Amino acid sequence: MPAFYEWAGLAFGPKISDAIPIPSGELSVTERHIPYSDASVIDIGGRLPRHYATTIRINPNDYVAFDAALGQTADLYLANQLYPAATLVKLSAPQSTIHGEWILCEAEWVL
Amino acid sequence: MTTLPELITPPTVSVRHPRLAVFVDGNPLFNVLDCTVTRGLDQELSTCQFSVPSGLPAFVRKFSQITVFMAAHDAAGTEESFVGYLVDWQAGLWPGTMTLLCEDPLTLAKGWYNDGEDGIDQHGRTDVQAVRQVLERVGFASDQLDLDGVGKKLGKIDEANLYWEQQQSALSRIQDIDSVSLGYKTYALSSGRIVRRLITTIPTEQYVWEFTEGIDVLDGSMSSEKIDPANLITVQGDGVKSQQTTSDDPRQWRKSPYFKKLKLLKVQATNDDYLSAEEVAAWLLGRLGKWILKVDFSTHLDIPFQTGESVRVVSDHMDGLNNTLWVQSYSRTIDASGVFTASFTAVSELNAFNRGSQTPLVTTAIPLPGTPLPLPPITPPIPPSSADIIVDFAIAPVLGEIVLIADVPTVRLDIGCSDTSTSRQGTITTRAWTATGGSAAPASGAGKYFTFAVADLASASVTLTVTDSNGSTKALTRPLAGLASSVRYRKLYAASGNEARAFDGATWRTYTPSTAATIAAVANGPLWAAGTLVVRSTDDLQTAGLESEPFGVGEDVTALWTELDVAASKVAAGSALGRVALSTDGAATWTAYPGPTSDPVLRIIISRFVSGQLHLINASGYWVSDSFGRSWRLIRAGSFVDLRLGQFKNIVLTAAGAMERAEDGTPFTFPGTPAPIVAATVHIRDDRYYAMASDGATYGSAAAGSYAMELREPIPEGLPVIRGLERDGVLVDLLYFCAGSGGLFKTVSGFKADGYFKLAAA
Repeated sequence: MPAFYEWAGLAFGPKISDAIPIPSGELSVTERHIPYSDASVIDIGGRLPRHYATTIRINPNDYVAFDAALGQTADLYLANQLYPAATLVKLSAPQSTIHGEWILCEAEWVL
Repeated sequence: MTTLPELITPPTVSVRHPRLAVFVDGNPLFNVLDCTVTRGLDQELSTCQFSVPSGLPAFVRKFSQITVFMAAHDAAGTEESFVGYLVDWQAGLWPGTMTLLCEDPLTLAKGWYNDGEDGIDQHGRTDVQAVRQVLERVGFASDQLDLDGVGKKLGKIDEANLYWEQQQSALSRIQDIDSVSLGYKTYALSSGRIVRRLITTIPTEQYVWEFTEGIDVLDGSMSSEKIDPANLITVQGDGVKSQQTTSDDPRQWRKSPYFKKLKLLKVQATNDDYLSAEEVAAWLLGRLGKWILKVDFSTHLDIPFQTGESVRVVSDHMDGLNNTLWVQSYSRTIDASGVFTASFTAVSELNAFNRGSQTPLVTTAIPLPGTPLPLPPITPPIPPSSADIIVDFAIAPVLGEIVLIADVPTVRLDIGCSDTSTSRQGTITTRAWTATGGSAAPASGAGKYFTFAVADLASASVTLTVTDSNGSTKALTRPLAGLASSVRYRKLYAASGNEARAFDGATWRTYTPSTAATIAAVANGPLWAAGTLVVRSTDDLQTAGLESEPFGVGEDVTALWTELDVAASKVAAGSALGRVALSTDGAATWTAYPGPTSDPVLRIIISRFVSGQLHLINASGYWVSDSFGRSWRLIRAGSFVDLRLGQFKNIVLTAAGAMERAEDGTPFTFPGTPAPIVAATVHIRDDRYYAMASDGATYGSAAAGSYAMELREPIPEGLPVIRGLERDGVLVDLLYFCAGSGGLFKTVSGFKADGYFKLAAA
């Protein structure tokens, strides 16, 4: 079964290079190197909102609805995984494929 | 030829989870994004600045008392990093954060002016008495002050004009007195207590820690400077009146007002009891022209400092630095990414010099080397002594509770102390606590924390005696009378049979749900599960409880959870058929979802830290949902009866009565052959745990980070019930437990002797 992608009831697809959606973690990981040594310190912390930013492809007929929903919060399915209350915060740089099958956009959600 | 394995050595990586907690008047402040605490002997006040998302809780007000806990190491305990007052905040539109600015308790002196008609007379007082007079006027209780000083009177004759003038702030007056007190400075420690100590930059023989390049120094810079080379200084009295007239020649030195002031100061200095102008001038001159070595560096290590301690810094790349230095200022930061950094400015005078000086060439035409100058003499280092120890401890906001002493309701006040002592040339190795007066129980303790209960604050005091790694010992006694204004009373929620019970801080009230079913679960808030119903109350049962049915008819509620300090509106419930239900309106309405299996849910927890995350246990295993219950992943299979999330380890109790680390099953070990463990909880600050066995035996961690549990005092009445142990979020070792027919109890000492109190009968 193909992976299911949907936001606010609107279907979309990933670019092939993003076939495995990996949202940024809610925890930040920072590595610091101690000068003149081979030692490092990794601090894990922060309580950051998870983001998912990628290039998506949208059916040209859905583009207007997608664009109108910018800023709204709704259920987001990424490869069958549900992220409730995802907010679309970016939908930019739309580009049509050569034959007009898809519109490719830079999209970003706060999960 | 160099081979690859020689080039690439295995790196050393240490992984840490820095922790940050902020309390406002004893209430936890959730979701603090970052925090910086800075204290320094070169700054007026210690400061703390932290950020939170927009939307401050109502309990945050100007001059709320702020307590900050920061720690970088998983294994370390946590002591107060800062105690002070919220003085201001800034709100930003985007991304919607508020930055709160706090200052140590001396900020009260900054905003307090002498509002009398006349200046306050300080003639005939020593420097200590004068500073104490100012601080007590501001409102500090005498037991909050630990003042030391020269001990000489500042002035006697009226012409000295030793008045705390109108329109002068208390802090400014204290700074005036400190400026002539031969090196004594008034400042606040991390516990908020105000001290006055001699500040010197002479190195010590020992040190707290050696920071070494390539091991624990992240960055650094070193410089040396000569303080204001000068051979003359003018000491000036406080506005002495001049009789100079227009007929006087102002160039005539005998008529000069400055000469008159000096003369007056000299007159009063004929007595050894008075601080003379010569002494002040000699002290100031003694400081001028000194070579000061100054090193700024930062480290990832988390070692508490109060400033004034000694550290050693070793760095080849900072010009062969290998010196013992005084910590002049110290700041701890946890940034928005959770990265912990400690930054220091450390200074020293008359250290061993790596590089000398020579006479510069100013007249010779041919550039030749100058004449090397002899190195300045090295001051002998200060040997270790009890004067090294800055003994100090913080006291948490007092918790008042009504307990049953011989079945008579009696007020007991819980006092939580945590050691914040440091030694300027060593580390604190042992601590002994003693509580006296006010029917204190338990009366003694050891370790970083000490919690006890008293009947009366006025006659009670607590003493801490600490010993450092050099064998030096020092004690501090703090009376508790001044804490009366910080007493708060807790709400409690419990159940007995089919009766829901709520205590609003003064009165227990009850409510019997309409189904009359036995209460199966009580949330950490005014929520009870009774049969198919969830009962909620908005007024601690002053009016009848409100009921809702999360799963519908015929499906009992078996688990209930809310996090009142995070979001009172969010409630999670689990059912006897394995389903979960969520409410976002405080349990009025619910949305039910399938659970991971059809086994009854025995514990459900809403994550405090990860939005949308739920933790659940049942007879099949330990499960986590990242989507508010719409999908589940198995963490570990097994039959579990309780789950506790901790800042170091999550723990589970198995159906067979074992206590294990939740994720990998590492067992905790108990002395002898214990009865099945039925209830457990987690220490609020350390990597420590508590457990209760079905026969009434109790256990606590033998050491921080250890899986070994030691036997503690058995509970005084009744028998423990499954999942019947809770902890306080502010006071260490304060635990609440159900003892079945014995009633509801608490221990203020983590199950140690003399710490049990009965709160309610069954």
